[in-house]
Amino acid sequence: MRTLSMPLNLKELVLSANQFTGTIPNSLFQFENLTVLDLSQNMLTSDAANDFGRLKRLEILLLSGNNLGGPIPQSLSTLKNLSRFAANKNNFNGSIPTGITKHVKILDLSYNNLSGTIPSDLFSPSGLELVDLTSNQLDGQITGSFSHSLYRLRLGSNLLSGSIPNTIGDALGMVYLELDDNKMVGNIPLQLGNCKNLTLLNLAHNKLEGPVPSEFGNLEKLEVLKLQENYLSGSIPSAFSSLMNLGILNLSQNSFTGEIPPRLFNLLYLTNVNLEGKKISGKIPSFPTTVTSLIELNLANNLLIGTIPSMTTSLRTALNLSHNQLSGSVPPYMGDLTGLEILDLSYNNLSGQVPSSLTGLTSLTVLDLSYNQLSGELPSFGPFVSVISSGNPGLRNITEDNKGASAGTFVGTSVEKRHTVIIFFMSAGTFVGTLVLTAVAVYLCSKRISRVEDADKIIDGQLAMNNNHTSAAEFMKAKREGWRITPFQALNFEVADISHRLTEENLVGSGGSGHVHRVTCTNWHNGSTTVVAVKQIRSVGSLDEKLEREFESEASILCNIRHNNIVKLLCCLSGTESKLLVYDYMDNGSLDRWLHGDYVPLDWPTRVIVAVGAAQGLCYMHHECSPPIIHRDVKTSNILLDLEFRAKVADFGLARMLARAGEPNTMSAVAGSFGYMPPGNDLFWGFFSEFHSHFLDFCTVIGLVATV
Amino acid sequence: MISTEYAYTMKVNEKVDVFGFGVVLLELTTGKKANDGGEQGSLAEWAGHHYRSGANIPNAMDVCIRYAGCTDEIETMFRLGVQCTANSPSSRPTMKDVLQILLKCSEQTLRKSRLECSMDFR
Repeated sequence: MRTLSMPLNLKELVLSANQFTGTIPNSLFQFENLTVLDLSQNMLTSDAANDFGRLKRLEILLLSGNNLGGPIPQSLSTLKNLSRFAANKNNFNGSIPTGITKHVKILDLSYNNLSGTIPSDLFSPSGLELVDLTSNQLDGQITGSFSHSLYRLRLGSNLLSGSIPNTIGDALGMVYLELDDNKMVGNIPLQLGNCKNLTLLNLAHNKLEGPVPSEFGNLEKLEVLKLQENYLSGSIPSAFSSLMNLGILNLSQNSFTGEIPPRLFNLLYLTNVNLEGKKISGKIPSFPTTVTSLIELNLANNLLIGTIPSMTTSLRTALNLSHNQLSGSVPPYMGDLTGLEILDLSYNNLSGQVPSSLTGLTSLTVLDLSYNQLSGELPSFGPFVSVISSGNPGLRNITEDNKGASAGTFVGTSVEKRHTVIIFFMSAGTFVGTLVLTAVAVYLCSKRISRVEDADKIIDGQLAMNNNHTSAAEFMKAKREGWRITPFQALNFEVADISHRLTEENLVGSGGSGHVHRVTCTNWHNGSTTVVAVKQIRSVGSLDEKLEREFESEASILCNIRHNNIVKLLCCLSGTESKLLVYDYMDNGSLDRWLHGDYVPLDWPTRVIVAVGAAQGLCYMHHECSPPIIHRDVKTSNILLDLEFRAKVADFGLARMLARAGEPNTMSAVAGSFGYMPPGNDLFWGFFSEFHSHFLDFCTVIGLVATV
Repeated sequence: MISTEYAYTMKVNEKVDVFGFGVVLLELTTGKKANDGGEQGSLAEWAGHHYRSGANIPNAMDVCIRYAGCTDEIETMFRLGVQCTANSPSSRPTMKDVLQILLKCSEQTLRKSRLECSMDFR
C-alpha cells in the first residue's frame, strides 16, 4: 500500500478483498477520526512499526486474511471504543496482549501462530461476546472466570493442557463451545451442565477421561455434541434421551461401556449418530418411525448382540453395524431403507439367506456382508453396487465374475430422478492419443455432497467410505490421513499427497474464500508430472458456514459439467480443517491479470477468441444444462486462460441451479462483485414471494454479520 | 427490518450473468477495470453513458488495440457490452445471441488478420 491521500476527517475506510501488498503505511495512522478500518483479505505483510494506538476512535478493526506477522499490537488494548477486532488468518505470533478484551467484545485471532498461555482475564470482562483462537500454538491451562455474555468460544486446534475449569459453568450465555483438538485432561466438569444455552459442544480429540456427567441432560438446546477421540468411560448417560434437539452425536473412539440408552433413538431430530468404539454392549434399541431425519448411523466395533432391530425407513446414506456380535438373519425389511447408500454388516454372526428385498435399495453403492454365517444364493445386484461377500462359506455368489471385472475402479449407484448421471472415462494422457479405458460411474451429486457435509461435522473424516474411489489403495491412504476424496475424473496421480504440498512457495492466489496453490503431481503410470491448481477452503465450525455453502455449491455444480470452456474439477478432498478443490492448472492465469496487470497486453485477435470461449462456456451453462446453471459472478478474474489462451470459466462458488429456464431462482445472500453487479431491479424483484422459505437463510446471514 | 430482508433476498435469472459478461466485454474493448467508470461509477454505467451521448466510440477503446485495424469489430464488441449491461434484464440479449455476434466478430477478425493487418496487431 502506498501513502494515502484522503480527507483527514475520514471516518470509515474499507479496502477489503483487494490485492494490496506491502506494509500498512504509517500515514494511515494520521486519520485519527477513523471508526471503521477494514483491510481484510489483501496481501499485506508485517509491519512492526504500526501505531494503531493513535486511532483513538476506532470501533471496528479488521485485518483478517493477510500475511501480517509479528506480535498483536499491545496498543490495541488502550482503544476504548474498539469493540470488534479480527486478525484471523495471518501469521501473527507472540502471545495474546493482556487486557485486549477489556474493550473488545468480538475478538477473532484464529489461524495464526500465537503462542504462550491465554491471559487469565481474557474471558472475564462483562459484555464480552465472542472469542475465537482456533488453530494457534497456545498452550498452558485455561484459567480465570467466564463472562455471562460470552456466547461463542472457540479454542480448538491448540496445545492447551490441564483440565476444563469448573468456572466454565459461569458462562451462562454460552451457545457455541469448541475446545477440540487440544491436550486437555481430567474429567468433564459437571458444571458444564449449567450452560443451558449450549447448542454446540465440541470437546473431541483431547485426553479427557471419566464419565460424561449426567448433568448434560440439562442441555436441552444442544444440537451438536462431539466427544469423540477421548478416554471417556462409563456408560452413555440415559439423560441423553432428553436432549430433544440433538442432531449430531459423536461419542466414537472412547472407552464407553454398558448399553445404548433404550430411548436414545427416539430423539426426533437425530441426523448423525456415531457410537463406534470398543465396548458398548447389549442390544440395539429399535427405532420409532417418528425419527425421520437420520442420515448416518455407525455402531461399528462394539460388543452389540441380538438381532438387527427394525429401522426407521427414513435412514439415509449409511448404516454401519460391522464388527459386532449380531446374530439372526438379515431382516427383509432392510430392503425398505431405500435412501441407503452404504450398508456394512460385515464381521458379525448373521446367518440365513440374504433377502432378495435388498436388491430394491436403489441408492446403494456399497454392500458389505463379509465374514458372517450367511448362506444360500446371493441375490443379483446391479452393476453399480459393490458387493463384498467373502468369509461366508455357505454363500454362493453367481455374480462373482462380474465383480472381479470392476474391482479397483468405480462403484456407483442406480439412478433416481434427483441424481445426475455422469460417465467417467479414464483417459491416459491428453495429447498422446487419448485412450478411453473403462469405468462407468454414476455419481450422486448435489444430494450426496450436502449430506456428506453434514455427516462430516460429526464424523471428522472417520467414516470415509461413502464415496467413489479410483483405487482401494488411494482410498485407504486418504482415509488414514483423515481426508475424504471425491473424484470426478479418473485420476492418475497420488491425491493424498496433495494435502502435504500446499506451501507458501506455491501459493498463486488468494481470494475471499481461500488460497490457491499450484501443485506438481507425479503420474503413477509413467512418472511424468501433472500440474494442478488446488483451491483450499478452510472450513472449521459454523463461523465458516458461508464458505461451506460455497464449497458445496461449487463441487456439486462442477462435477456435472463437461465443457471445453469450463475449468475441469478433478476431485475434492474433504478434511477436518479444510477442503481442497483440485482443478486442471491454467498456465496463463486469469484474464484480469492480462488486462489490468503487468503482463504484455493481449492483442485483439486473442481478446476475441477469449470472449468467444467464455461466451461458449456460459452459453452451455444457460442453454444446454438442465436445469440451467447461473454462474452469478462472471468477471475477468473468473475467466482463466490455458497455455493456448483458451478461456475457461472458473469459480462456481456462487453458481446455483435454476429450476426452470427463465424462471427466476430465489437467492438468499448478497453475491457478486462490485462493478459486475447489475442495478437494483435485478436483485429485488419478487421479494414478497417465498418470504417464509428465506426467513431462515436471513437469520443465518444476520448471524454471520453479527459474529465476525 | 424489512429493508434488510429486502437486501438479502433476491431473485435472479441468467441475465445476471449476461450483465457480468457484458462488463467483461467492456473491459476487453476499453482496457478499463470494472469499477473504473469515473464520475459515472462503474464501467458499465460509464460505457452506457458514453454510447448514448453519441461520443466517438474508438476514443473509448484500449490504446493497446486501438490501431489494430479491426475498429469495426472492436466497436461491435463494445456495443454488445453496452447491450449486455442494460438496466432492465429483459432488454439484455441471451448468451446465445451474444455468442452469435461474437462468432461473427471473430470470423471477421480472423479474416483480416490473415489479410491486411496480420503484421499490425497490438
